[in-house]
Amino acid sequence: MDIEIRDLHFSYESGVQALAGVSLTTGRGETVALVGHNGSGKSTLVKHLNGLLRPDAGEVLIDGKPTADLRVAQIARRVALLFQNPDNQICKGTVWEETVFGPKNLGYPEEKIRDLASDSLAALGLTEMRDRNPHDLGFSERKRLAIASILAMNTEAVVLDEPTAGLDSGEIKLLEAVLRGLRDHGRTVLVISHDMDFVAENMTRAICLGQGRKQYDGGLPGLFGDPALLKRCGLVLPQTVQVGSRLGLSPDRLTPEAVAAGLSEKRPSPSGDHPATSP
Amino acid sequence: MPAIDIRNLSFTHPAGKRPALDSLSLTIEPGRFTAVIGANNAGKTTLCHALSGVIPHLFPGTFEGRVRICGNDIAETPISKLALSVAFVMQNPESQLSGIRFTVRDEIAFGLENQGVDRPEMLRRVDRALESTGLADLADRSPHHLSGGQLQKVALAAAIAVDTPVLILDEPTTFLDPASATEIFAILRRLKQNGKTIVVAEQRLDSVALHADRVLGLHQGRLALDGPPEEVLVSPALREIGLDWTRFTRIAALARDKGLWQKDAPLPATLEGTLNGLAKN
Amino acid sequence: MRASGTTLFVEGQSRLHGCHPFSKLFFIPLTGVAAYVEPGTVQAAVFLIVLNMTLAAAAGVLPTAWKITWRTLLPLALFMLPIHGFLYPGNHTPLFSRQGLTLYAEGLRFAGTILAQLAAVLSASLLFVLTTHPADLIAALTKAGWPSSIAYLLGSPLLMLPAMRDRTGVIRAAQQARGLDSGANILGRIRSLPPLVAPLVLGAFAEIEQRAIALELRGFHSSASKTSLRRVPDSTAQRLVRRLFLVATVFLILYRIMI
Repeated sequence: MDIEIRDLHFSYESGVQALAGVSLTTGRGETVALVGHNGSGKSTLVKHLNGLLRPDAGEVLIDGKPTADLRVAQIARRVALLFQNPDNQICKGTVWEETVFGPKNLGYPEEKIRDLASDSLAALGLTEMRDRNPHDLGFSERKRLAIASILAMNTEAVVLDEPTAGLDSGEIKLLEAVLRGLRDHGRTVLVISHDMDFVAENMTRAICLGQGRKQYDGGLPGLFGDPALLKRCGLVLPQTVQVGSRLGLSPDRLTPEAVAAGLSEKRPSPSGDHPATSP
Repeated sequence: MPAIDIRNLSFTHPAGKRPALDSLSLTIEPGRFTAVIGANNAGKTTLCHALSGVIPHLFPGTFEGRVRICGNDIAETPISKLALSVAFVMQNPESQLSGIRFTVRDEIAFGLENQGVDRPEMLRRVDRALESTGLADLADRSPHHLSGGQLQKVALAAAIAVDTPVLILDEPTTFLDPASATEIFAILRRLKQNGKTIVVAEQRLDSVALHADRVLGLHQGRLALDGPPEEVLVSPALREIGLDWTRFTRIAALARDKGLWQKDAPLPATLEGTLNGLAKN
Repeated sequence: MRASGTTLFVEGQSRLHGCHPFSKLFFIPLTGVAAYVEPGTVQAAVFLIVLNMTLAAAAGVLPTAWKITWRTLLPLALFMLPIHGFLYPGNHTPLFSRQGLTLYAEGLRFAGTILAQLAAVLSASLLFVLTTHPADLIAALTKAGWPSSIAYLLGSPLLMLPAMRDRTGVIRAAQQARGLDSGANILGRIRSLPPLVAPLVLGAFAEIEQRAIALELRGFHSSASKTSLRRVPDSTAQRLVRRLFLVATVFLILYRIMI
């Protein structure tokens, strides 16, 4: 699915201008990180993707068709949006009921709903909790449930707002596998995140917002290789690039493996094939 | 006298199948910066609750063993008296505000008002807390208009103002951006230098590596790891409790596999440690 | 001028903002009895409305006060004016007649007087609400020796409601994003209610629990006698005025009963 945003302007009733002319396009199978400091317009932007907010000027197109005349519930069929706080959406008495809520709203057939919900719960490690009351679960479990309930909607595009906040490293690995699966199926994934380690290892493109405008749009190395931009947008380098940049490696080495490979290329170990001896 | 003394502490929530904390024993000396790490549901929050008196005073459940904070047995000390020795900062910045104060300054003073501290002293302490958290410019703003990071600093300032010897923080940076998280840790570091005993549950292991003197690793309610960060955070056992090495450690470990790391040199958990180790080879 | 976003309170630096909450509070019953002291006459009420609206203007809250006043009274007026105009028992001066229905001057005057009296009391209440932050009311109550938990109970709902309103918006957005379509018809709206209400109520409970813990840990129920950083400005003159308000109120009530 192609999403296109054309010259989006939006101001809140209070008079605060959140978006001052943002344009972008995303295509099938892209995993895009939306980054920027608090109040840079990220959340405002994604609320336009499914019509929760309507632009003051500019337009949002899905597969070339304007969304202005569609209701949110109609766009939800194509673009699912996960909010930050799971407690603002959990409304059912069991994990299972909660997971099927979205697909039921979209009117999918029973059998499809069952399959989608089971798969989503399994992907987030919640299968054994399907009959539990969500409010008896811990925060990170509720967060995973919220992610599962969005996945179960089986939309062509998925937008996630701070999906890693509150998850531990094991849970983040589950999420990473989910995102890989979505990408492999040609879904578009848009993630708002402050977690640059997560962004570095899971996203292929970054869009940086600042003061309601696009400050950067492109590959991750371009973002991480521009210290002035990072500073202006309140971003930090991922740990891997922190090491790499201090050792003169290019910022396209985004995983520990890539950094380590860069190290050996830069300085081939004389003892590469032999056991290292103490100097 | 240790700042914190835990003997055989077990706690089971009313609906819990297994104990949230299971036979925990440890002591923490005054002035130490201790980080509590572990996967979700390992017992970090419950431990924070047991160190601040939420357990057993406010939450039902089966409480066994003994916890002393600055010599006070928490089960036997009324919670309003415990508030003189220990302050608690929660994960969610919003719900820990009094909710009934007009300005940031008034919010920070709330705990002092409850203790009946006289006004001139209160003003001094609130100003100092504002100063040390960098909130002076926001002092007259309404707390309801602040960002999560700013609110978390207000909570920290309120704890600083009551000036308790012990400070407990339950994952205070979870909902914050990296810049705010860094600021919180910088404030905690200064508090430690001023002699406070700090216990912070935390997922950001790179921050733990930089600031903690000691790391407690919880796993299913038990104390699985206990030691200085340079040992605990690079231990292979970290993975057994559901956590991952920092990328700094992982890069160093990969470099070691490639023979780019001094033989027998320990793995680091910080950026500087990794850079130094690589420079030595 | 701007609503604070948390309550009806409008931030400002006026003399009225600086008045002690109790002074403004005591003015409300006084306005009430003064407006009703001569039941048949509208003069007192009109005078009080003009006075209160002038005070509102001086405090910079006139637009808000005016908006709330007419939005409250207009529906009442639409209901009361015809009812009394047609049916008031003392009606005898016809003003206008059509198809057997006659509108009388006495009924209109009677309804108009009641509306004016209501407007007078409402405007006095608005002076209090719009220029008094709930935190100041809580501080004043505590200082006057009211138990802190009662002061909290009285003041905190005022502060919590707007936060709940904000959350309602987020919840609606989150559920719409999951395909919840409230649609245009009543039935659809009723059906879409539980997914909106459940997170709101459960969230409010969770927040109250957290906040209760936070209050306990910060010594809210400490037996120490509390102090207050916030000084709610008061003066001998204001205390005197409050006493005068009280005496005048009692006097007017007695006058009404006796005469």
